[in-house]
Amino acid sequence: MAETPDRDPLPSDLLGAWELPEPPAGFADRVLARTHPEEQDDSDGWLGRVAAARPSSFEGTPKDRRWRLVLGLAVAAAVILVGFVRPSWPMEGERTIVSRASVSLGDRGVAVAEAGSSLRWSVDWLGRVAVEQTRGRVFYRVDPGGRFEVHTPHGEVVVTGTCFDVDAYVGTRVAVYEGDVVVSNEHGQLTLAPGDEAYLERGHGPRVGGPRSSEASGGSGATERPEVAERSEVAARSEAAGGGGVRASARPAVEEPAPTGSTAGSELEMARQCAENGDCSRQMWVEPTIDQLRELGRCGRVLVDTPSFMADDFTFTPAPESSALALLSESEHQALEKTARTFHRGVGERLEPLLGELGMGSALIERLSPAQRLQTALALVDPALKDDVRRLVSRERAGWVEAPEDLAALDPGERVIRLYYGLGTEYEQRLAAELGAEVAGDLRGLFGGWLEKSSESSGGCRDLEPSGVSPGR
Amino acid sequence: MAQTANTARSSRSELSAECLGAAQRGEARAFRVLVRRYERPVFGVLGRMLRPAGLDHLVEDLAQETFVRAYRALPNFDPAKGARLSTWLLTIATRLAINALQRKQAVPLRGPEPFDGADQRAERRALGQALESAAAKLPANFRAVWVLHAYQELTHDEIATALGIEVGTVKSRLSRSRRILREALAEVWDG
Repeated sequence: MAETPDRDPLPSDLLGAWELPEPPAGFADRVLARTHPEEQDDSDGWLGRVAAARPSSFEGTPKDRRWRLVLGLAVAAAVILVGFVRPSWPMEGERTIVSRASVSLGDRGVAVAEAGSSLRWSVDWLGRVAVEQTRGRVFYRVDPGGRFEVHTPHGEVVVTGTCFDVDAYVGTRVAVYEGDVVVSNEHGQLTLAPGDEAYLERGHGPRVGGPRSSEASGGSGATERPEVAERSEVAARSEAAGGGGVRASARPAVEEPAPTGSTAGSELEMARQCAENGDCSRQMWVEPTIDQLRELGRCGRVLVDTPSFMADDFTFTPAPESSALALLSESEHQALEKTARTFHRGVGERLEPLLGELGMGSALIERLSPAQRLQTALALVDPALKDDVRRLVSRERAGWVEAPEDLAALDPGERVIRLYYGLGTEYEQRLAAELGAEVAGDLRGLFGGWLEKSSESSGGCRDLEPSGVSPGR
Repeated sequence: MAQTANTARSSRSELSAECLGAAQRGEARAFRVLVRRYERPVFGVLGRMLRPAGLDHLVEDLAQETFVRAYRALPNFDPAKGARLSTWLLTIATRLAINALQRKQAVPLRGPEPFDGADQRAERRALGQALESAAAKLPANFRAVWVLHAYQELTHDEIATALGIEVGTVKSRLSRSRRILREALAEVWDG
């Protein structure tokens, strides 16, 4: 995962609050009217070019206006003709999915998006569909026709008529059920057939199967790995339950953790990549082995997973738990939601005095939501202190040093960081108290940890500390 | 959490080499994909540069100009030299915005709306307006550094290259920009 070692200290909620209008419809057509005027009669975006081939502030002379009138009439006539021969109408849209939803993508495509997914799409006059899936899990059904492409942060998926799943989280997983799909990024391209599954991640070409780390750990066929089987089972159950709150069968199998102290060489190599480059598998978020934790400790790296509602409470949802609602009974679902809301509010309350200690006025703190409080508090902590705490926590997790017993005696900045690092486990414990440890663990493990994942490094790896030797605080 | 912010602000990968190559050869469809791919960050930079100065009406013109200039220079763009296409486009957009800001007489800004504690979305809008007003206090060159860093996540080196200044200057402008923003926002919050 790419890191941004020097993030802006302003709270990201505040930065995000400065919203701008989306680029206006037809903008690309207007640009192409200037760059490719010779292709005016090409069907690729011709209407937008004719209709708006001018800078937006262009006033025009009377002669220009006459021409525009003539062009306008020509366009109107063309629209009528095109209406008969081209049934697709251009459309654009954008949605952040709060709970499972179907999204119509023009005449040819339907996307079934799980909670937490974010989609932006456009359909042109020829019915070609371009989807930007920045995150989340989405099932697509596409009728044969023009080009259909899905862009994710990790690469592109291009299809001509098929059903397929795209999960865009740490990497992008593409599973094909029908038809042919081409996945690509700047490092390569791969053609997938029904039953195939591929994984896209930054810095690597697409590969058949799961993440590099999964393959390295000895997985055989793409569809035979436990993780894949688990996901397919979950998807099938979710489909069977129609997105409702009925548990269809047993809970998904959870991967067996590697035996402590006997990590295979490939697993250790995987851990090294994670520790040194941030290229981490899902398993390392949820069930790291002690050897993997030591690798992380050597590099001062901490893997953090946080419930998504602690990152954005404007779209409050207990995702990704809601993605697994098919696994839960109605009463379990209600307990889950209640626990999530209580936890969300409680974290906000705990952050109130910490923000005060960090110098923020109470009037402002009261205006901030729990997620805003968390992000603000994190932004207020001195970066050097963050690095120190990160390195310290990574060593504690590796078992080299004891965690402090009296948190109240710590610097408020350190308490903020420790609170943040502990949210994922704390939330799982709260859920375990309500739903049982098995359910809570399954929910957290379903997507390899809670949805908001980050891999934070304090910078630089050192020689491995001998086991049992405490480097001290 | 870091990833969340990254995802929200700059989640897209660069254009594929195949598509870039086609656009460089002048293929209209490929260039259209390029425009669609990068129009959002380009509008983002231009909007955040120009809106605080009351020059919203120039945003689309300059966005068009950005892509037209990019198209003309595209055959010379060489990703093998380490430049990212997105950074290159943002460089063009930022320089156009700075030129526009230096040419035009800025109009007075509207003040931020008061907070409405009963409505989170209203509060979010008010926060956004407060930040926009605060950004208006930054000189164009400072605002460019801050916008490229905070919203486009360009590195210090990339910003230095984009604006033709030293890395040290980037850091000092960033630091001063943040201080100005903090002070301006503190006034709004305390008020």
